[in-house]
Amino acid sequence: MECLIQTENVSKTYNARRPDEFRALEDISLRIGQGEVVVLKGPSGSGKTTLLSLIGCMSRPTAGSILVAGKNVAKLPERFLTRTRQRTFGFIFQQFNLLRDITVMENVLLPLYPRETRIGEMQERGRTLLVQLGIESKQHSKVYQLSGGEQQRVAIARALINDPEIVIADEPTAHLDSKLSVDLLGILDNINRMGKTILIATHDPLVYEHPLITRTISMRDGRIEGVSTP
Amino acid sequence: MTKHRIFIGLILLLASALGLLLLFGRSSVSARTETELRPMKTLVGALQLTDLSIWTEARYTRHPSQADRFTPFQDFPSALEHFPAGSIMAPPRKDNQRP
Amino acid sequence: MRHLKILEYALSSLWRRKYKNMAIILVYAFTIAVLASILFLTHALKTEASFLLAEAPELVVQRVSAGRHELIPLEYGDRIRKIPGVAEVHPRFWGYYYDALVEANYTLLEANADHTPLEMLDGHLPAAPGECAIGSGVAAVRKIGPGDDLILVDSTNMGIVFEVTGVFRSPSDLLTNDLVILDRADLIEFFGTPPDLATDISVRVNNPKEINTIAEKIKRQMPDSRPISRSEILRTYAAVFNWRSGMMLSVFAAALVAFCILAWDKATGISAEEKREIGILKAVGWETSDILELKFWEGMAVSLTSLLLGLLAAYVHVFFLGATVLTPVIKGWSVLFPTFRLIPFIDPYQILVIGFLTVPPYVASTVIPSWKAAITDPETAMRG
Repeated sequence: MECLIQTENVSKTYNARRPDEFRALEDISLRIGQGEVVVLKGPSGSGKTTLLSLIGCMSRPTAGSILVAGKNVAKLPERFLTRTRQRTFGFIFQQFNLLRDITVMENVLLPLYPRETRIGEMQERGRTLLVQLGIESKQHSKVYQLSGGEQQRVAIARALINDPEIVIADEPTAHLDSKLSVDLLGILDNINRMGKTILIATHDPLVYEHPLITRTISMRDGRIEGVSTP
Repeated sequence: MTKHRIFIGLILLLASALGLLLLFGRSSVSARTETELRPMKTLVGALQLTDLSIWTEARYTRHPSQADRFTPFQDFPSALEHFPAGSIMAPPRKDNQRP
Repeated sequence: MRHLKILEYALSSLWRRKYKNMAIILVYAFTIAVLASILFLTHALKTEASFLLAEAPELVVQRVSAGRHELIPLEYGDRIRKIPGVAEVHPRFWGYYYDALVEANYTLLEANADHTPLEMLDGHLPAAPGECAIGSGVAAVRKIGPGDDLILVDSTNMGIVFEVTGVFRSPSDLLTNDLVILDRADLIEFFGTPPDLATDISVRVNNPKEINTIAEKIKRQMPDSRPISRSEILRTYAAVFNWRSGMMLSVFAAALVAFCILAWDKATGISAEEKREIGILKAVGWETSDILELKFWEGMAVSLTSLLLGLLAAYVHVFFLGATVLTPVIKGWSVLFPTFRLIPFIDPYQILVIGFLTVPPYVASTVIPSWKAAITDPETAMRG
């Protein structure tokens, strides 16, 4: 299996050399291959979200290197970091992070506005995704008019709109009931079948016990506690 | 998805309306200079007028160019000027008052 | 393409708060309209004054006594006539009349000797004693027309009847609104002016270049005289509506204060909501420059629309509606105030100045506050 993401002794310290210094991650080394579905599991404050944001090029590590598709992103200047994030990753946030008062379609197309894609093509892609996710009838609704499950699907559509190689989901089931969580896992399964690598941070057993998962990484206090393969 | 088209259209519409107004104004300037300003100019010459009849409330507002230095102050230098129009126009120019 | 799409998103973003943004555009356009109205009005008035008063007497000689304008002896005219270079000397008779009936001030003026028909006059100038020609303002306020009688109370408190033989057409209001033109003998008798005195003396010179020399000679020979040259009249009018004048100041001050409040509100008030939005945009792959461009378009859309609306409104207001909204403000206590039928003299430079005073500051006050939010790590968006 080709290695897509590789972290080498990655540490992240917040507020370095200040009284409120906080070491969120220490010495994380892991490899994730193409097409894997990896779960980061652990209590809150264990560093899952920090690790996701480092891999997702949202911030830089204090020490160590992160290779995404063979490129070290730890030292990239902000412009290239943004570009990598834009092309390689799709994010599903815990809070959905949708803009409440614009339409579903506009939310889904958000990542494409600053790119050179033509508007017609953007909409075509958006519609295809909404059809796949079964919410095409809502495309002109405002986000606040949707149910939680529908909002989650909009967030998924937005994560997939730029056809990313890697999908990162942070506590995707936190705001969903069991039925919707199962639905979500079905969707993630489909995404995985499309050849995408998926990284999920969660402490929901429903997720990390799902057969879809290829590897579970347990974290505690900023360190890797153990790795299990079902 | 065509909001930017509507916006650009609106801006162009407004800009061209303004442009048309300005052009129309330009063209009416020459016409009205002939039909209105020229006879008025004759009037100025014939009646030997020195000022515009805008504010008729006080001597120095009716004939600013002919006013004494002190009239805005009611003939007393430190009196407060109290005609409202005086706050709209500048005081008589100093070089109007030959030494 | 990219820029158009960011513009598209900026418009969607503005549209989300459409009532708030429309209100901002309206208020902003109104401020610009007031500002532009004043600039248009004063510029048009200035230009018209400089055009018209180019025909004013080359030199007006007043007598100043105890610091005030006094009646001037006719004998001064004879002495001026003897100065080399002087072509013509005319004693002028004019004065003011307060009409207690309508509480208005008129300007009473003698009819000039020559009776060439005037295009701007319906009827004719007084040719015989007992006749008068009046401005349309006087005609309106006294509700009289050609053939009617105008009764004025003279210096001995006697009511004198003048027959109206001419009324000035209203396009000439700017010059003639409050005029009452009388025969010279009537005027002297009406005011009770002593026979050897005139109001002032107008002087025509042979060579316009000598005006100042002649003015100095007059001043030297008659130290109590005050010569006012045509160029000084013109300069007075160039300065009447300058930046220093009160109206400009007060309106500019108000506009500035309003704008500062707006800018301050925006600069300090980038809300948590907006910060969150910027974080989300960064998280989904927008660059800092894209976000600043978005804010630039937002500011541009609001300010450009306001600018154009404001300029249009100002133009229509000043040149089609005769500055009716401003009139009560600038009218002061004038009872006879002319209706402005201004000729649209526009200074393109002024339009440019209005544009520069309004659009860039607004855009800056939209972009700069979001700067800080735009450069922070998108990681914050992950944390909710």
